[in-house]
Formats: sequence, structure tokens, C-alpha cells
Amino acid sequence: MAFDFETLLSAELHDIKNQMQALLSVQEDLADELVGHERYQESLDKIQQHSQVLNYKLIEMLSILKIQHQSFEPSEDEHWLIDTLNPIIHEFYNLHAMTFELDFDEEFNAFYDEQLLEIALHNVFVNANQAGAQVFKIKVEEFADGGWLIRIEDDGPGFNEEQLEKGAFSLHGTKSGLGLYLIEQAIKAHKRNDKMGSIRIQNNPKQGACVQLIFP
Amino acid sequence: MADLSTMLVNKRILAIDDLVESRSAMKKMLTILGAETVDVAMDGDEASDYILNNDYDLIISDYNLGRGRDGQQILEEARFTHQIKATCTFVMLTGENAMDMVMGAIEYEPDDYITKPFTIDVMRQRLTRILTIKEMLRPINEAMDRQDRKTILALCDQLILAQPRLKRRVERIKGRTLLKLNKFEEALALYDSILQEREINWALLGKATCLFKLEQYPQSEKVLNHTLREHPKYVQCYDLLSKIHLKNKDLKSAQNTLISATNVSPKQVLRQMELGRLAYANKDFTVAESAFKMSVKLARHSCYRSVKNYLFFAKSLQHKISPSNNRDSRNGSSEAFKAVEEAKTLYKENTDYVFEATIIESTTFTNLGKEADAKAVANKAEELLTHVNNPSGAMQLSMVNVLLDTNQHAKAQDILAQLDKRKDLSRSETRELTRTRNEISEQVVREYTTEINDKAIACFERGQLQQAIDLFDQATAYKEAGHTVIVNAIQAKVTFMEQREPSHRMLQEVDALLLRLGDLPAHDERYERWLQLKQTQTRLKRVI
Repeated sequence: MAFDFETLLSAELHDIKNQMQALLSVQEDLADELVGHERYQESLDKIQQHSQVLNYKLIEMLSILKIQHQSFEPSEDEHWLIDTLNPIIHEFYNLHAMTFELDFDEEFNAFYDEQLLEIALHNVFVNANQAGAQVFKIKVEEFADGGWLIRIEDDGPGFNEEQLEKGAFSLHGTKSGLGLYLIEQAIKAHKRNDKMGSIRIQNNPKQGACVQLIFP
Repeated sequence: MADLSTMLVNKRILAIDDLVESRSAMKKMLTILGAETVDVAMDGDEASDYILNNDYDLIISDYNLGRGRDGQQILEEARFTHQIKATCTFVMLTGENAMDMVMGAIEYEPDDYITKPFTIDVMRQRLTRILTIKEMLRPINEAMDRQDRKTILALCDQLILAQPRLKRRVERIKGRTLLKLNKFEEALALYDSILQEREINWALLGKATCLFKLEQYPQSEKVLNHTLREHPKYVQCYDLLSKIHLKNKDLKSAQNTLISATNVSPKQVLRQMELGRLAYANKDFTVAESAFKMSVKLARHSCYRSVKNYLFFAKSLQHKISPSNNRDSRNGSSEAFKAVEEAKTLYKENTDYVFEATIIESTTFTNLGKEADAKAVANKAEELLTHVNNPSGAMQLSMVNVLLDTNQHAKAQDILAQLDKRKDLSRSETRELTRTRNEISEQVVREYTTEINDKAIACFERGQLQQAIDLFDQATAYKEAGHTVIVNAIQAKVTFMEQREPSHRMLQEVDALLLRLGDLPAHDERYERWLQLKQTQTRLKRVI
């Protein structure tokens, strides 16, 4: 019998996920126990930061494995955007002191693959942070045909001419290429009645970049 | 949104995970979030016990629970048996890459999924959302627990107006309720309106179900095929597709469709059972065997456990059992015996089931070529049958077949005579009866009695009179037994009484045989012998 690497890999990943889950939980316990012990706080913060990044990297890796799988289908379900967004912005606030202004109805809900959107948002924020952005404004627009978009504006330097000219595709070759490739794949995986998702990048007239994730 | 700790504080919560660290982590997390009463269970069995003995408001279960049942099975059983109320919130934790993580039946879906690994932030956010929604749906769920479907419909319409953001969730409940009320036209219109906006998988399945119920099979099939192209893991579509094939009397396609479904979702008991039954009817015993094996395994500790699984499993193994003693046969028979034993132990109170199991046990011995064992067990079955009040035609038929297999034709004939008098046989039972009858033609019986006759003569000639008498008794038990056999039987008994001593019982038996024979004409080659035997019988009667 041929060796079934996929099953093996899947079992290993399952284990890693459980370990990660346990680690996150022990951290919570520790944080609980160390309340009031200021001298440990700095180390604890660092541990938490690293494990959050590690956790995210794991999710990202799982998503890459998922997207590259031939039979991959996004699992689009109804979610409340604020539920998806809140844990991510908390994390970026804690890690990089990035601030977010949310300018949409907290009750806004829509159909999307939550994990894919998490990947996309994460990448948008990481890229912007690397470019030097600190302040973000997030808006939602709904269309009459049921489609919608998230607009993310930042206070960074914005995209350069070449990037703007070639659109999102141009970014594949850059250092953060994998991230942008993932954003695009994640959004494009969303389909509805012959339409598919897309991303659009532009610069704001005053300052900063503007990324739009458009869902069908 | 409401504060999570306020929502959790009065809730009775059950957390299910197979890993000890995850269990305690989950409990800790819930406690930090404000929960006060959290039970933890490590597997399906423990969870079932807890669910049976408590009234939970919130259950959080990992999907993958190691070797036993998974989270989906726990949910299905709990909802199926109404051990948890519709108002109870069920949240499933999933690892993303679990290939066999599939949605269960529509009515058995969890209220929410949370993907592992998750942080406490994610947990807080998701629990707050789902518990808030669940609270808004409370009146509907309470009506669901009362099975008050009219109220459900009225409340759904109200809530769609009051909470437009919950429209899809409420419409989903509404569609399901309309289906339960057999309002298929109305349900179809609802699903169509949803599908115009977005192709949601449950709306597609809902539409296909309506079309099926309205007997528009080709249209239903088209919707299902389309849904499966878009959502290959939506296994319930296969179930409905299989039903359409059955309606079209295409059993083979029905079976193949269910095979596709079990490939995607191997752990669903009811589907495995259905596949087993179809494959068995199609005489595809290899598929039947594996489906029933899986059913037995999956249902062993669940509410779906059924004697049929064990018995069909043992029956579907018979195709590989032979007297050749090869490995297939050895394994097959040992599995069959094991299944039969388990069925007998589990259902020992039910004579019908024990009888059925015993019948299969005898057949297994027959197929193994172990005639003596087969016969002994057949006799046990016969004994059991006498304790069954009003045995069914099917039971009598299977008794007949086993008696025939163990060469007990006379007994078989008796039961066949009873079956002939029955007026309640189904069409298939009548067919089976005719088939059985055709197999035991008079010719076969005559050949058989002749064979016994030959053996009996050999015993007689060696002076083994008692053995000879026993064999002749067997042969004369058949009404088809010929004159030669009867004369021989008389001779054996008369000789026995002459050599040993006469007995009233044996004299009566000889009388009965003489009566059955009637008067032989003088030209008959057995005439002289018959006459002499009659005289000896008369003499013996005087002696006693």
C-alpha cells in the first residue's frame, strides 16, 4: 500500500492545533495568576505576542494547505463582520499599538468564509504595518444586488505608481508577495451567481493606502 | 450586545473534549468568561450520560473525539432523542483539516462552529453572538419543543420583520417547519425567493426536497446534482438522490449514490444501515458486509443500535463462508458467530430476535459444512419457535429453509403445511414459499427417503436393529415415502420385537404403518413379505 502522507500530515496538524490550543490556554491561566506581579508582566506580554503570531502563522499555513487542495471549496456561511474583525484588531492593537476606527453597523452580517477573510485581513494589516501605517479606518458598503465590500484605509505612505498601475497582481513579486497572493486567493474564492470576489487597491487623495475587499 | 458573563452565569454548561488539557482549558476559559456550572465529558458515552441526567443550556463539543463517536453524532443523538431542548445551544469546535468533518442532517446542525485553535477573544465574541441570537429565537425554539408548528410560523414572520439581520436564520427554520407541515408549495416558493438572492446550500436542498415531495423527480434530481457540483461535501443531497433512484426503481444507482455519501461521511449510522439494506437487496454482499459492519460498530453504544444491524451483518458474511476452511471463510464465520452472539446477548429478552439469530447461526454452520452443528442449532431454533406467540410467516419460512438445509424434511413439511393455511402472507413471502416448495419437489424427497432406506438396510443387515429403526422412522416420516420403505420399516420393527421383546408402542407403530400401506395386490413383488409380516405382528400381539 502506498504511504498515505496526507493522512499522516493531517494527523500531525491535528496534534499541533491541539498543542497550540493548550498553550494558549496555559497562557491565559498564567496571565490570570500573575495579575499584580508587575516584574513578570513584560516577559509574559512577549510570550503572548509570540504565541499569537505563532497561532496566526499556523492558521495561515492550514489555509495555504486548504486553498492548494484540488477539491477546495470555501465554506461560506453567515457571519457578523464585527465578530471576525474584533479578535484581529485586538491582536494588532496589542502587538503593534495599531488603532482602528470602525465605521459600520455593528449588526452587519454577510456570507463569507470566515477563515479566509481572517487571512485576508491579517495580511492587509501586516503589509500596512510593514509600510509604516498605524491608524486604520474600516468601512463597509452594501450594494443593492446583495454584494458588499470592506474598505480599509490607512495613514501609511500608500502604494507606489507601479503597484497602482498593475493592481494587486503586481504585488506578487514583492517581499510580502505570499501575503497578497493569499488575500487575492481568499477573496476570489467567494462566488455568487457567476460573480466572484476581487480586491482593488488605490491611494487616498490626502494620505495613505486604500484596500477594498469586494464580495459578490 | 448583552454582556457574556451575565448570559453565562445561570447557564448549565457541558464541555466535551477527548484531551484532558483541552477539557480543563475549556472549563477554565468558560469560567473566566463568567460561567459557573460547567460539567466536562471526555467522550460520547460520558457525554450521553451527562445529557441524559441534566438539562443543559449550552453544550460545547470538539468535533473529533478520538476513537468513539464524534461531536456531530453526540448532537444528532441528543436532538433525535429530544434529550436536549431546541432552546439548548450546541457549539461545535473543529480543526480545519478534518477531511470527514461534514454537516449532519439539517435539523441536527450545531448552532455555531468555532475553528481551533482559538483565543479567548474569539470564544468570547462567538459565544456572545450565538447566545444573543439564541435568546432572540427563544420563543420559536420553545414552540419547537412543544411541536407547535403553527406558532413557529407566526413567530418566524414576526421576527423577520423585527430583526432583518436574522432573516436567513429564521427563514431556514420557517422552511423546515413548512416541510414538516407538508406545505410543499409554500416551502418551495420560500426557497426559490432565497435562491434568487444567493445560492445557499440549505435552500438548494430545501428546494430539492420540496420537488421530491411534489413528485417532480427529474427537477429535484437536477437541483441536487447542481448542489453537489458546488458543494461536494453536502452529503444529505446524496440521501435524497438515492431516494429518487429508488422511486425510479433503479436500485443499483441508489446504492452507488449512498456509497458516494458514505465515502464523504463514513460515520453516519442511519446512512450506513440504508446502504447495507440496499446492497443486500442488490446481492452486492461485499458492500453490504462493510456497511453493516460499520453500522454495528457505530451504533453499538448509541440510540441507533438495532438487532437488524447484527443480523444483517451476519447474513451478509455468508457469501464468503464455505467448507473449504480458507482464511476468508474462517474470518467470515468467526465474525458471523460473534455478531450473532452479541445480538443474542443484547436482545435476550426478545425471543423473536434470538430465534432469528439462531437461524443465522445454523445457516453459518451449514455453509461451513458442519452438518451436525447446523442440525443441533436448527433444533434449538425450532424449540424457540414454539415459544413465539403467533410466529410470523417470515419466521416460519426461515425455519423451513433451515430445516431443509439440515435435511429435516419431515419437520419442514409440517411447517409448510401450516404456512399453506396462512392468509396473511405478504406477496414476497408467498413468492418465497413457492420458491421453497419448488426446491423440494417430490422427486427430491423420494431420492432422499431412498437414500435413508439404503442406509437403514445396511444397518439391518449388520444386525444394528435400533439404528435401522431410527432411520426407517425418518424415511417414513415423509408422506411421499414409497411402499418399499414402509414394508422395510415394518420388517425392522417386527424383527426387533421378535428378537428382543414386543412393546405396545412399537406394535401400534407397526399397525399404523400397515394401515398406511393398505392391502398389497397379490402380484406385487413385496406381497409375500407383507403377508408374513402381518402374521408375525398378529402373533406378537397375542404374546404380549
